[in-house]
Formats: sequence, structure tokens, C-alpha cells
Amino acid sequence: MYYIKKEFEAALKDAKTHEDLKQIKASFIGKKGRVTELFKQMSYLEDEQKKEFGKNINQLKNYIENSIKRKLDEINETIKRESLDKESIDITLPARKSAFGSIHPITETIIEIEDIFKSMGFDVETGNEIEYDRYNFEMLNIPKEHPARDMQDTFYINDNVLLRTHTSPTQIRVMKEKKPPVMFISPGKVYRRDSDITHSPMFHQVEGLLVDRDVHFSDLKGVLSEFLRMYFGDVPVRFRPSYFPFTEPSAEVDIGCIICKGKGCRVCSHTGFLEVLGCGMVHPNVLRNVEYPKEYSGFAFGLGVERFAMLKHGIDNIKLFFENDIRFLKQFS
Amino acid sequence: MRISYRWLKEFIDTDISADELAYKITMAGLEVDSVNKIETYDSVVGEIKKIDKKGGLYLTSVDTGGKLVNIATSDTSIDIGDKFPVAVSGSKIAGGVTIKKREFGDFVSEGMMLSAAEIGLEDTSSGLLKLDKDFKNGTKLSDLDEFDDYLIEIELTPNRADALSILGVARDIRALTKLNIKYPKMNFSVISKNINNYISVDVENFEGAPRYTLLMADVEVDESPFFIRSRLIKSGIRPINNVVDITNYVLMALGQPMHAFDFNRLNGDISVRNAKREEKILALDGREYELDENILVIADAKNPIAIAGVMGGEDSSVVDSTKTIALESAHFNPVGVRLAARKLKLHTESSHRFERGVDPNLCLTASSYALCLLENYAHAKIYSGYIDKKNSDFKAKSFVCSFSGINSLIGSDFEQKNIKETLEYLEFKPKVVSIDKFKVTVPTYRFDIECEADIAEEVARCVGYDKVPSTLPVVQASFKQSKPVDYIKHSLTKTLADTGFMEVVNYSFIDSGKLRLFNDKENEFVYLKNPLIEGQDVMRTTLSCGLLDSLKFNMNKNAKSVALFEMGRVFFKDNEYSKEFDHLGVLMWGEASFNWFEKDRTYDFYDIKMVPEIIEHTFNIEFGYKKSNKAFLHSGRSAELFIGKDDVGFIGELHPDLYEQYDMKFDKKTRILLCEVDLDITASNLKSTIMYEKLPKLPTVARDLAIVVDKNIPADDVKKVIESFGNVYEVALFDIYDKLRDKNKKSLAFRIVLKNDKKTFTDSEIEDATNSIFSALKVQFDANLRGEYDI
Ligand SMILES: [Zn+2]
Repeated sequence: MYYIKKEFEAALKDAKTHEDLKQIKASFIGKKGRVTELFKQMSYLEDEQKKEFGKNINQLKNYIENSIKRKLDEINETIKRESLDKESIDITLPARKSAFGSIHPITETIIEIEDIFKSMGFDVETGNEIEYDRYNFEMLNIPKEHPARDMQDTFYINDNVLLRTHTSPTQIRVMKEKKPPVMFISPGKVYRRDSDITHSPMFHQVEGLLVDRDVHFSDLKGVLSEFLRMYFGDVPVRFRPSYFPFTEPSAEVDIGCIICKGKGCRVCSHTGFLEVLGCGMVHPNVLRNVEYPKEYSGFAFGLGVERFAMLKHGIDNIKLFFENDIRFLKQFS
Repeated sequence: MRISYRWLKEFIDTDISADELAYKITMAGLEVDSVNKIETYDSVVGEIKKIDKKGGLYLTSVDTGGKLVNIATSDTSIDIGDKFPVAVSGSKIAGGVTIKKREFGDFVSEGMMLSAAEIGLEDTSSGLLKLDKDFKNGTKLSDLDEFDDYLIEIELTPNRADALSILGVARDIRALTKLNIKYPKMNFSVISKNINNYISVDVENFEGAPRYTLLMADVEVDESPFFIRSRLIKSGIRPINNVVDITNYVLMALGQPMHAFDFNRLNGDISVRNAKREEKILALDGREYELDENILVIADAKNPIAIAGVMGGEDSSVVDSTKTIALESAHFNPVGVRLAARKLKLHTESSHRFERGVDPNLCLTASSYALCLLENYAHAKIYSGYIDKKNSDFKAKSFVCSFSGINSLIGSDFEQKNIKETLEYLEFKPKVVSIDKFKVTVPTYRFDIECEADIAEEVARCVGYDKVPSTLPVVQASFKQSKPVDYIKHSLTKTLADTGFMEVVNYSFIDSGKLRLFNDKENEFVYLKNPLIEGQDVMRTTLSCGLLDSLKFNMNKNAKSVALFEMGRVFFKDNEYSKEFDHLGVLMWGEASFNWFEKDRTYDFYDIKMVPEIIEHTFNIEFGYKKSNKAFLHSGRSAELFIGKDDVGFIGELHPDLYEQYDMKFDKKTRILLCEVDLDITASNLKSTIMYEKLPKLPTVARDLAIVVDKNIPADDVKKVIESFGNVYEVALFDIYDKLRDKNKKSLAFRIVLKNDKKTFTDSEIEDATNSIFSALKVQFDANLRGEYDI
């Protein structure tokens, strides 16, 4: 009996198909199978031995039946898997979709900036790109013969109408329409008659204005430091006195160079700092021009979107933004 | 403005290094662009001992301190006994270039005589830098004072006219460091000749020239001493002769532009007047300028001799033969000078300062300094007396400020004493008038200070912006909601990018010639008065031009498949002003199927039609389509889009004739598709809420219906008829077949989903329903059932 079991196990191990199993079943427990033969031999035994022998044969028979059943499941499983494997596809092929598009890095930068200021409670306003000289300059404390006009070479439509040189006229438009308090940012295109590797005749700015009772220069520092840390990460931020005709006091804001981490490199002209923002307290003349009551004060700021995008993505030529080379745009998908 | 660190230190007693000083003034509002050490390497003083002329070259022998060096040069200004900086072969010059031996026939040039640029004093030079004769031959330049220096480049904001001089920068340093200013010697002696016996001045226009002073001296014109010449070069001013150089030296030192006339070349007395129409002047730059009545001039009895505050005239200039000078030091009206300089396109060191404001009380101080220098370096004999024309005194302005107002604006807690002291170091005179108020008197050189906010800035910038705390404002909470058009723009940007379009940004100004192809209403165009280039002379009224430019750019880079969109403003003339609208523009061209699952398909109308459909589905808007008759579109393959009666845009193929205008060839297989939608109108039709429609209570059934109709019948018209049946829940077109025997027919197959809310359909009811739909189609479109039609 022991040998029968061993032989069965060896045979079962080699079995691969349903046919193999059928044969094994027949040769061990079939009508003329070897275990069946054993039953036949039982008649020659004593009663006492018969009982014991019969029990053993039955056990063997059960064992064989169960083993065959298990093996059958195993073979079924293998067959199923093999048939699925035959249907294999190349899982590395891309999805059945024509292509992925992309959002222009300028738009993406504006969205990111907007999200930060919106989270701080700022509204979003849009102004006009073709603007009155009055709004673009005069009401912002830049009269006709002011030398500050040299800083911004202007495209004119006629003597009184121009392409806005900055987003600041939105300050005037909003304040003329709304009573204080106001708190908004305003992204958009601006135009200056200037073109080289760092200047484009059209570029984008984001303007910001907050006017309320008791707004201090220290608040301007707080809000912009917070914004810059949210946008650029944990970088040093410094405020430096500067000049804009429509703010007083005015400041330029630098961040520690994100390329060399302040050690000094070509991008930061070896100063370790990058100029990223202009800002200041709204000039009393501007508040007077829009007839805001004296007890209101506020701050304004403006930033260049291209500069932010160039710094963040390491882009070295402003022209790339407006050539619209799809190989460039694809990198932002 | 570029200044010498060494010169600056003559005005302020400090040991602070150039770099640290640069940092300090930058943080106080005088932004330093760069600090450069003058690097002379191993260059030495050399004296020319011998000159042989050979061809265009001068072969010289130069004494470099007991050693004669052969040097070839092409500079014609050299003379025996002249001294120049010399770099012998093997040593470096500015920029780090190493000088090598060079052979000219059998003459071996063993070094080079240097220009100021080659020592790094300036960017470009026109000739060699002549050194003073008393410099010892062979002395290393680095051992000479003027070469042991740093050049500090300051980028001044236009409000800080007061800092456009060495003295001005020194004044800020004093406020920051509380160190003393050292004023230069300004004394001189006079001779018995009195100016009033020689010349008189008549100021006709005091508004243009509030102050005009004149002094006279006999001089000996020569070359300036090296320290004057080198300092001017360091500041970017070309040395001319000692008299002219000294006026420029004083301009840089004190900020007062001055001008010296050759007295003997003047015709009679001086008047300060407006130019006459078409009057001309030959200016010092060698060019003739035509003047007009708005330009102020200094004139003698015959002609203008200077454009006031801008530039002197050539005919009265100080030259080698000049024996007597009249020295002008004046205060001109900033606006007048600015207008003149702009009109003549002539911007000078002088006009730059007058435009921004020069201290009217500086005229005579500057003259004294200049005369003192002239006495020392031009052997000047100064006439007694002076002319000083003005019609009023120039009093310092003053106003009242409050300490608390300053602290409130800044958000600071500066002590009164601190505020007062800071202002005093800036030469402001604060006088406390009550517990919180003080009256401040502003120095006459500070044209930029007008109110308390200005005083607050002065205090804050000197104390340091870093001393101001960072706080967050306390603001009223308020509800912010995106404007509809902004919402549409944001949402569409994301959807279109996800759908496979790339966003582009094009210039708003385009070529008017191109725009005319897209818009024949030229009276709508907004033209630029002063375009930068010819091809950008008009504001766009459509985004299509820019998109085609982007396509063209990418075709030139061998792109095979281009799908672009842009969102931006378009502009239409509105009397003197303009109206601007937000548009969406889309362009598709090329391979639609450069991928593994689809072959040989190029973009067509039905690809770009995805765009209006996206808008319809995203914003719950319905567009009407009408065949377009726009000249730039393919008449058979384009449509105008409507919302109700509003024309909101178009969609379609570019007209084959337009390809040529963009240097492209029309190709039947790959056509250019355009779509443009006015987002402002779309936004005004936004439906805020979608009203829920009840779901069918009982199971719906679907039946397919294939019909044959005339080829010209729009499928959507058929669909609309089917949809008009009350028991039709949904209709979808799933097949179009136009290869029928009758070429004028096509087959359309629809899947129609039927609903019945009362009871479950029976087969015969379904039959009836489809029959009545078909009957309607037969009546309306002369439709046949596909199965019954003879294919
Ligand atoms: Zn850096």
C-alpha cells in the first residue's frame, strides 16, 4: 500500500492535463485500478485483519480522490491563467486620448498668485488695457512733465489715450467706483515701448491694493512677506526704500536668491538677492484724487508675472513666453 | 550714476569699505547696481622716449623705469615725453586678457600702452590714457592713488535729484552713519577787473530761469591734472580741457551744472530768452539744432550761445586759444528743460539734473568751488564782482507734521527724539510746536518732499525698513465672488488644457495689413500712434491673427500637429477711446492621429467643434449655428455662433485664399481650423442654476431608425424633429453613410430612446411610435427608410 501511495504521488506530480488526471484516476481507483484490486484481495484476509486493512484502503482511496480533486482545481486555474495570458497587451502604451494640452506658464503663475491672495481675502478685479492718460499717470500722481514718465516708455493711441504701462490704473478705476474699504488684486497685460532679452513690449503684472482705516506700512510688510513665502518657499525677504510716484513711503522687495541660495550668482548679479516686487503706502494725493476720506490709508503693490515665472521655472529669455513654441509650452502640461 | 569711492571719501570721513557703504546706501534708497574694484594688474607708468613712424604705425621706445620697452601703436596723439600706462607682455589688462609680444616686420612690440577702458575706468575709450608727467617711470599703477579705487554704480530713482552728486550721496551717508561731511576748499582771490565793466545779463523769462549767475576770469587753457581727468572718466565724462573739465568736475561733485563761455567769442551782452522760431544753434556735440519759441536759450546780442540747461554752443565754447571765460551757474525750470531736451532729443548730464531739480541756492557755492579749482589748475585770474539775476529768494518750504501720524503710517514706535534727530542729520529743521506736532523745514535741494508721508519715508529709510515690524492688517470680512467672465476663463483654461489644447499668449498689437484680412471695418481699428515696429501697429480685433502667427512659427519648427487656444482682449475703437472684450480663440491644424490607435487622420471641422460643445456643456448654454459668410472662412465649412440673437463668434476652416498671406500652401488634407468666441457675451448668458428634470419612471426602450434623405439636409434639423416628440427621451446620431448610388442622398441612423410614464411599452406601441416619427420625417424631409431604399 505504501508503494501504491508513493507511485500515485509521483504520477500526480507529473500530471498536467485533464487527460493525465483521468488516466491516473483510472489506474488507481478505476474499475481495474490498483486500489480497487486491493479491495478484491481483502477476501483472503481474516476478519480482524480485514477490518484494519479495509480501513487503510479506504483512507488511501479517500486520499487519492481528494488529491485528484485538488490537482484538478490547480490544473483548471493554470489553464484559465494561460488563456488570459494569451490576451496580454502592452501596458506601457499611452491611454487612448489624443494628447495632453497645457496651461501657459503666465496663466499658471497668475492663477497661483491669485489663489494665495484670495486665501488672504483679496478680491480679483480686471481693468482696461487701453487706458486714459489720466488714470495711467495723472491721477496716480504722475503729471505730464514728470521725469518718472521716462521710466515707462509709453505706447500712445492719441494724446489722452494709451496702452497702460502698469496695472496701477485699476486702483483708480476701482476706488472711483467703490467706497472704502477695498481689498483686491488685479492681474493683466501691460505695455511698454521696449524690447530686448529682458524686456518685452507686452508683459503681465499683478497689482494689489488694500485701503481701510488704520492700514500701516508694517501691514504691507506682513502681507507681502507672507505671500512671498507662500509662493517661493522659506526665503529671506527684505524691504528696501524706493520710489513710485503713487506711493509714499515706497519700497522694493527682494528675496534671497532662490538659485544660489544667497551665495551670489549670475541671475542675482552676485548680490544674493532678487528684486521681485514694488510697493508702498498709497500716496495721499492718490487718495485725494479719488475723494477718499482722510481717515483712510492703504498700501499698494505690483509685481511682474514673467519675472515670477522665469525665476520659478528657470526660464532665461522673456521672448519664450510670446513665441508660443509648442515644444516650450508642452513642458508645462 | 557712477562715482569713485575715493572721491566720495573726500566728502565723508569714513573707513567703511566700498562694499559695505554700497549696501548701506542701497538699504536707504540709493540702489547700488555694482561695485567694481579698479584692477590694473602689473601695468606701470611708461614714458615715450623715441618714435619712428612706419606705415600707419608708430614704433616707440618706452621707458618703464630704467628699462626701455619697444611698443608699436597706432594712436596718433602720442608725443615724446608723454606718459601712459604700459602693460608689458605677460601682464594682464582689464577683462583679464594677457598681453603678448607681437612682431611688425623686424620690430618686436613687447607690450601695449593702455586706454582708460583697458584699465577698467570706463567701458570704451577713443584713445590712450595720458598720465601726469610727474608720475615716476616704472611706478606700478596700483601704487598710484587714483587707481586704488572702486567704481560705485548707483541707479537713482527720479525723485532723488539731490543725490545726483558726490556731495548728495555723502549727505545720505551722513544721515546713516552720523559722520561728518567734509566740504572742499572754495576760496580764491580776485583781481581788480570787475565783471560789471565787461558784460551784463538780461533775464527775459524768470519762469524759465529763476536764477542766473555769471562770473568772469582770465584763464590758461591746458590739459587738466590727472586726478580731474581720471575722476571724470570714472563718472563717464570725457575730459576736454582744464576749464571745461573743472565745470564738469563741479557738476559731479556738487550737482550744479555749469557752463563756461569764451568771453572773446561773444557778441555783446547776454540775454536769457525764449528762442525765436526757426532759430538755429550749432551745439557742442557738433550738431545743429533748430529751436522754437518754447525753448529757453542763452543768447548774445546776435545768436543763441547755449540751450538753457541742456548744452552750450560750439561757437562760444572754450578752446585752446581761449583767454577769458564767462562762467554760468544757473537754476532753470525743470519742466522747461525737460521739454527742450525731449523736443531736441538731446539728453545731457546737465539736462538730466535740471529736469529733476537743482538747488537754486547752490549756484554761487558751485561757482566758488569752480573758481578755486580754476585758480589752481588753470592759472585763473578771477574778476571781482558777480552777476546774480533772480526775481525772488528761494525760501525753504515748511509744513507741520505729527509724530503720531508718522508712526501710524509706518506702523512703528519711533521715539520723538529719534525722529527729530534723524531729520536733523538729513539737514531738515524740525521744530516742535506742540506735544505731538512739529514744523519741519525742508532743505531747498529736496524737491521731492511735500507732505507728512514724505517725512515718514525719510525717517523710515534712515532708521531702516528692517526696523519696521511685520504685522497683518485687521480687515473686514467680506464675501468675494468671481465675476462670471473670470469664472468662465478659469474653467475653460483648465478644460481646454485637459482636452489637449495648448494655451498661447500673443501680442495684442498686430499688423494692420493682416487684420484687414479678418475685419473689413477699418473704422473699428485702434491704431498705435508710436508702434515699436511696423508689423505691430494696430490693436487686434480678433485672436485669429495671433494664432496663425503661432501656427506659422511652429510649422517653421517642423511641428506636425498644432492645437492652440488663447484667451485675451480684443479692442474696438469707440470715438476717442476703445471698447475691449475678452475672447477665446482656438486653432487646430495637422495630424489628429499621430498615435498608436488611430491612423492617418487630420484635424477637421468636427474636431474644433468640440470647443463650442465644451462651452455649451460646461456652462449650460446653447449655441445656434448659422452658415457663415465671413470672407476669411471657407464658405462651405464654417458657421457663425449665436446665443439667442447675439452673434458670439465663429467656427470653421480658414479660407483657402488666405494661406498665401501667411506664406503657407493650402493643402486639402491638412486644413487650418479656427474658432473664436466672445466670452463677455457668453458670461452674460450664464444660467446660474440647472433645473432638475424628472427621470423616466418606467424602463425606456431604444430603437434604431435609419433613413435616407437629401444630402444637403442638416442632420441636426432631423434630430430636432425627432426630439420634438413627447415620448422621445433621447436621440443620438450614430451613423452617416453617403456612398449611396444616388450621390445626392445620404443615410442617417439614429438611436431613439422612448419613454412612457404611464405603463410599460408594448411592441405595437413601440412600432406606432417609431412609425409616427418616421412619417413626420417623410413629410418634412422626404425621408425614406434605409431598409426600403434602393441602395
Ligand atoms: Zn543668485
